[in-house]
Amino acid sequence: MRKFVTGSFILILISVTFPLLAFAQAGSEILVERITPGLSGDSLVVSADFKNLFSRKIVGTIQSGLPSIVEIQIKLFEGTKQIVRKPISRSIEFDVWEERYRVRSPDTTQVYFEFEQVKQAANRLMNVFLISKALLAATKNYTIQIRVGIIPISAHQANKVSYWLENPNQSEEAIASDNRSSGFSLNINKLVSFFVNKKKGSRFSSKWFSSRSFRLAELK
Amino acid sequence: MRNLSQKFLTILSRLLPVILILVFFLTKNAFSQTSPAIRQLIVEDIEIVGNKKTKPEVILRHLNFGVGDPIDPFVIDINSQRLSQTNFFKEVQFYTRRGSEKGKLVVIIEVKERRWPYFQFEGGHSDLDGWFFVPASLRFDNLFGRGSKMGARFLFGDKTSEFSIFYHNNSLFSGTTFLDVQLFNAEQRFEHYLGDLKTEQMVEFNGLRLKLGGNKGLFKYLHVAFRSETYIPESFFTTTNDSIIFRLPAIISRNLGKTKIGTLSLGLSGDFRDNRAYPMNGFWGALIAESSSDKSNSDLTYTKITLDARFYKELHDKKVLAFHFKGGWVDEDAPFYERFYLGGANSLRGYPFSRLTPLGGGTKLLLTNTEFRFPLTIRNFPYHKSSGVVFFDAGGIWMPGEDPRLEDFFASVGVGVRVKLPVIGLTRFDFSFPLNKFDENDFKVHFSLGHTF
Repeated sequence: MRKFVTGSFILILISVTFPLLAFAQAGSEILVERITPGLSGDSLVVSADFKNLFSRKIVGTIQSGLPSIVEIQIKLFEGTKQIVRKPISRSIEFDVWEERYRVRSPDTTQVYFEFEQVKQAANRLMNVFLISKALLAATKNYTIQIRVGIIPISAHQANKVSYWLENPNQSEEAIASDNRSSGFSLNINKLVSFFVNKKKGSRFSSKWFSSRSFRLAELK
Repeated sequence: MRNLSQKFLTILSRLLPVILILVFFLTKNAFSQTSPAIRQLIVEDIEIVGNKKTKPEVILRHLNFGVGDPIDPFVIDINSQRLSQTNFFKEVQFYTRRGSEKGKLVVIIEVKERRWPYFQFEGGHSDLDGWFFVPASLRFDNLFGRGSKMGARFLFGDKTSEFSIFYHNNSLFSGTTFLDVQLFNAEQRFEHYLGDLKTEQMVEFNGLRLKLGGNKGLFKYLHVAFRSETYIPESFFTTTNDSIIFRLPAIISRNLGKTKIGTLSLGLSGDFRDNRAYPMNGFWGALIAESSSDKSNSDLTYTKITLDARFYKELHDKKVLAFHFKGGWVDEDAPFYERFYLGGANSLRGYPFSRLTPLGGGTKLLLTNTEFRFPLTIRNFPYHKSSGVVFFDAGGIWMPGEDPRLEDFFASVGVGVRVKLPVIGLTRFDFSFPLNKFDENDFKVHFSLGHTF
């Protein structure tokens, strides 16, 4: 009887805790929603919405005056074959003296006075050009994948494992009599976690989200 | 002999004013203050979160900014990298939030600590050690949260193999002092030339090395070290075709027995370079005086002095003139494994490793390397992918009883590229031509890691 009560209690605890944990995780996860392919003139374009891009810490960082970068990656597949890969970067900056926000992309700079306006602009991807329609086949099925991430303060720190691989602990001659030139060290645990986590989204980046499969004739 | 030593020291002392003048002119920019940019963000406070065992001062010690300093994304990048490379943390993340007034901000450093010992793969290259690899070193860094590093490792190389246990404490006496301790057992291959014949000799050695130095104020330029080592050289040379030579020259055979070497050394060193990845202005220097006598439990009595100085000056738009000077002097009683060599990837590049070294090693050394460096790519500068170099090396090495003369100098010129490879880091390829004919060799390619200096 006692074993049964203990067993039941553990089962109830697990069944309550896990969904709660999953819910809590889902609540903070960066999401890509409503990936919508479309046609604009002779081009295939895509629109999408992002969710949970701005955590409290990211907002605090932006409002203190240091820039954050939104990085969007888009892939277009013909069947299983990738035919387009397009990266988009947007820098979000707040001028603490003039109290205005700037959202910069390579070709435009938009100015806002409220953070809510910044959020709305950064959370939307509107009719982004992917490829000329003439290069696509009417009979083939296409899918679009999108991943979005926000990098607080700088481009390097959120990608620190890959950055660390690019910038290893190379030491140099410490004192003259050592006659040592240089060496490198590679933390094996870090390397393993780099490859294990490569395909997962991090807390600053979403997973890859896919659109429904579509044909050109179905698009407006 | 004493006269010759004095002559050599006289030459060095005459060179000293020239070096000091060079230091002054070449490092002027490194010390000068640039005019502050208008509207800089200033650090009002630094908060550390997520550290359960690591003392906040351990983290603060690794930062190169503090409260009241200006801050920008580049400073955050550098410091994020500095903390990540301690290997104390699984994750390091910087955030900021508004401070109490406009233009001020609070830096928040969020860390996730590493809790268990971890394995590290290491590798590298040096003239003396050749290429070496550490398949796995077991590390217990920051075990008690005080920022100390310790571990054990096996090192294997084409010229050396070693097992060592090491401990590094960077926070003695309220963080003002560091201590390095190393216990090791090693074997190293030395190269000697009998005329044109290249021979090799293995030397086994083991012992203890201690180093104590400062972290703050003027004391940070000073260190003292003690080493107590036992050397057991092989009593024969082997040649490249596996012949064995048992009758060795007197200069080698006099040091064949088991020999205890105990030295006390005092070092003066300073790093005033504007950055380590690609120094454009500034100076790095080290002067080390080492004494071996019966007072330090040594079988041999000798003194060794080494001066190593590097100067950097940006000529135009990231194009840098870099100059390296190395001078050394050691008593004639020093055994061959404590003497100087000349030739190789970090020495005179137009010649093979140690090719210009007189049999038994030199007791006086002068070496200069002059490089004109230019970036080939500028993305992420100064952590850019590649740069090129044109260089000129000149140097000489002398035996006891020989006076350093200009006509004894050897020289070489060459070109090189430095490419940053994933994992390995800066890798260099140098193509060098000797200006003084030696052997049949008229071209030398070196492949190594890091900048030459």
